Amino acid sequence: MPIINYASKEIQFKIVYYGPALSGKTTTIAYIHSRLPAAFRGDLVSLATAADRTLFFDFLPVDAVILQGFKTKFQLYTVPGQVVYNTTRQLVLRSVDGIVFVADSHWDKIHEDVESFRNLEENLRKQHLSLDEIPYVLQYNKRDLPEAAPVSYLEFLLNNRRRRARSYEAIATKGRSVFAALDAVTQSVLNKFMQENHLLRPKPARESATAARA
Amino acid sequence: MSFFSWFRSKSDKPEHDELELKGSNESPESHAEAELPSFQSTRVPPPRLRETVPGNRPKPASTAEPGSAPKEGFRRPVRATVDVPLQVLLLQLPPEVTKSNIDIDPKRRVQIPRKSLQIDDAHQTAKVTFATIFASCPEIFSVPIAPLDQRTLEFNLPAWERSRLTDSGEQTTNPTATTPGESTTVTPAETQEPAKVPDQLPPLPAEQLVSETQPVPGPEKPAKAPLGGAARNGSDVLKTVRVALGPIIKNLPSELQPSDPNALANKPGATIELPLELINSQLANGRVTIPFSILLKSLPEDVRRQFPQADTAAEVAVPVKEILQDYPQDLLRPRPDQEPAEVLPAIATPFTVPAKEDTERFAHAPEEAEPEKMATDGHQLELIEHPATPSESPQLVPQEAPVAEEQRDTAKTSLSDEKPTSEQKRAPNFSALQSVFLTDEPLDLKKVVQKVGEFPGVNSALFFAADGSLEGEPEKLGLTQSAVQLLSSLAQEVGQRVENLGFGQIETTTLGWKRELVSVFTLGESGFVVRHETRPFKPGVREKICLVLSHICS
Repeated sequence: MPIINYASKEIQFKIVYYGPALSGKTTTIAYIHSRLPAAFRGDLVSLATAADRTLFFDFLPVDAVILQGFKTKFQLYTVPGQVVYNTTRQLVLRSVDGIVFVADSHWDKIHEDVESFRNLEENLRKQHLSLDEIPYVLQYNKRDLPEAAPVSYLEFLLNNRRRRARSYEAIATKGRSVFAALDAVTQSVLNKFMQENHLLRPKPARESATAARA
Repeated sequence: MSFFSWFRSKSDKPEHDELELKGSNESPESHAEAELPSFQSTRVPPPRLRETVPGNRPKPASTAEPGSAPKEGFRRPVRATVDVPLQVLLLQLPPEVTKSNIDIDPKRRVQIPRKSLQIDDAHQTAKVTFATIFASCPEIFSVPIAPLDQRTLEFNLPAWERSRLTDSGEQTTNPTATTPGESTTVTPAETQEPAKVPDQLPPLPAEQLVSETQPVPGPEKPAKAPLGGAARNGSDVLKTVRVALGPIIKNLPSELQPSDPNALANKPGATIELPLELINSQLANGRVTIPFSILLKSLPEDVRRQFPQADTAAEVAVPVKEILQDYPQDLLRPRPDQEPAEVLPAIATPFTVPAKEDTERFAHAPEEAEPEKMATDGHQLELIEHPATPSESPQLVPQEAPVAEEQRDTAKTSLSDEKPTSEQKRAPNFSALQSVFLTDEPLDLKKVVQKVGEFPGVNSALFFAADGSLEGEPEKLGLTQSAVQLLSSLAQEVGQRVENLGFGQIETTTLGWKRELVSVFTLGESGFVVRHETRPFKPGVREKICLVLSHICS
C-alpha cells in the first residue's frame, strides 16, 4: 500500500528489487542512480558489509509524476540476497507496491533463482500478500554471459504463474533493459493505484512543472 | 477379580495413577482405557486409531451418545502429511498433464505435506497445487510441472482427516497462514503418529518410485534410440534423455572420479542415457542430481570399471545445460491456461525516457559490436606485432620483433614512455565501471586500478597490459617490476597448461608471498596483480576484479 501524506501532498510507492545473491540488484539500482537527473533523485544509500555485499538494503528515492495534485515519489529498495538475511528481506518487503525480480541467467545460478522466487512468495504470504496482487516484472540479468541459460527455460521456471508477468533480458552493468523493467513495474503500480482509487491518468512531473512555470 | 480390586484400589488414589501413567510409555488410548474401565467390563473394543470409512462403522456405545462431548482421552494427532489415494488425484488432474497408462497401483496413497494443503474445514475438502503433487509423485505426470505453477485441484479429505475433524472438533487452520511457531507445536504429534498407524504406507524414496515404473536403462540399450518425449502412451516414445558424459565427470567429487578422468571427460561423443522421469521431477527446480548408482548403471561395462564402487548413494550433479541439449523442448512450454501479461495504459514516468534511450542504444548495439570486435582483433594484431613473451614465434613478425624487444626493455625502465602507446589503443569506456565501484566520478585506468586496490581485503593492486606497461605502484605490492613480469608470465603459463588439460580457462592464480597472498588475474596477456590478506577473497571481490579486467580488456 502506498503511503499518502495529505499534509505534504505526497504519495510514496515502494519498489523492491528482489533476487538471489550476486544477481545484480545493487548494480541495477546503482545504474538507475547514475542515469537519473540529480533533480529527480536523492542520494543512493547503501548499507553494505565489509565484503561489499548488501547488508540491509539499498535505497534510492525518485520523484515521479503528479497524481491529482499529489506529488508521487518512488522509493527503490534492494534486499540482501544471501539466504541468512531472510528477516531483513521480510522487513524490506513490508508495504511493498511493486517488485522487480532480478534473476541471474548463469546456468549455475538458476537453482538459486528458483529458491529466491519461492522465498519471495513465502515472505509475501507471511504478510498476507501474493504475487497475484502485487505488480511485478522479471529481469533476467547477465544476459551477456556466455554461460547464460536460454530465456525459454527461465520463463518455464520463473514465469509460469497463472498470470504471465513481463520479463526483460537485461545487462545491469551496461544498463540494458534496466529502465524498461523499472518503467514497466512503475506503470503497473500507478495503474493499479488509479484503478483502486478511481483516479484519472496523471501528468508527467516535467510537464506539470513546465505548465506551472507558464 | 484380583485385578479389578487392584485397579479399584489404584483408582482411589488418582495422584498415584497420574504419576505412574506419566512415567510409563503407555499410549493416550491406554490412558483413556484406564479412565474408563467400562471398556474392559463390557468387552467393547477401544476406539480405533484409524477408520477408513468414518460413519459407516457403529461407534462404541460410550462415544455414540447423542450430544455427548468429544472424548478427551483420545484425540487423533495432527499428521505432517495427508495421505491421498492416487486414484483421487488422477480423477481430478487434467489429461494434458497426466500419463494415460500409469502402471502404479491406483490405490497407492500419495503423501502430501500438510503445510502445502489449503484445508477447508467446513466442506472437509483440501486444495493442493499441481507442483506439490508433482514433487510428491512425479510418475503420474507426462510433463514437468514448474514449482511456481499455481494450478490447484480440490479433493475430499481422506477418512483419517475427516474423522479427526469430526471427533475432536478441531478447527484446522490454513497451513499457509500458520506461523513457524504454530507449525512447530504439532511436531511431536507428527513424529509419534506414523508408528501408531499400522495401515499407513511408508514413504518411498524418489529413486524407488522411479525404479517401480521406469527401469534404469542399461548399457545394452540401443544407442540410436529416439530421445525424450512426453511419454503419453509409453509405446512409441522412449523415456530417456541423452546427456554428455564429460560435464558430469567434471562435476564429480574427487572421491568418485574415475581412474583417468581426462580421457573420459574429453572423449568426443561420449553420452549416457538417463530416465526422463528422473530428470522431469527435478528440472523445474533448476538443478538435477542423480544417484551415483544410476550413473554407474548407465555406463558401459568397460567404462564402469574405471569408477570407484564405494559410495553409490552419493548424489551426482548433472548440468542442466547438458540435459536441455537433447531435452524435448515441447515439455518446457508454458502452462496451457496461462493468461498473457496485462496490457495497461501507458503512463509517462521519469523512467520512460531513459528506458527509450536505452532501448535505442541497444537496438544499435550490433552495429557497435562490430567495430568493437574489429578493435579487439586489431588489439590482438598489435600483440603479435609487439610480443610480450619470448615464447612467441619470431617468424610471424620478423621485422617487428626487434622493435618489440626494444619496447619491452623500455617498459622495464620507464613507465611514462609507455603511456603514449597505451593511449594509442582504443580506450575502454570506463563509465560502465561506475556501477561496479558505486561511484559517479569519471574513471580512467589509474582510478580503476586504485579502486581495485581499495576493495575489501585487498591491500594494493597493479594492472599490467599486454605490451608490458604497468599501471599502479609496484612498490606498494612489495614487488619489483621484474617480479611483476615474472608473476604475469608464470600465471599465463599456468593458465595455458591448465587449459590444455581440459579444465577450462583459469581466472586467478594465487601465491603465498611473505605471509601474504599475491593473486594474479589474467585475461589474454593483460591482468591484475593483487596483494591481499592471508585469507581467500571476500565474497564478490574476486568476481568484481574479473569483471573489471574483462571490461578493460574488451
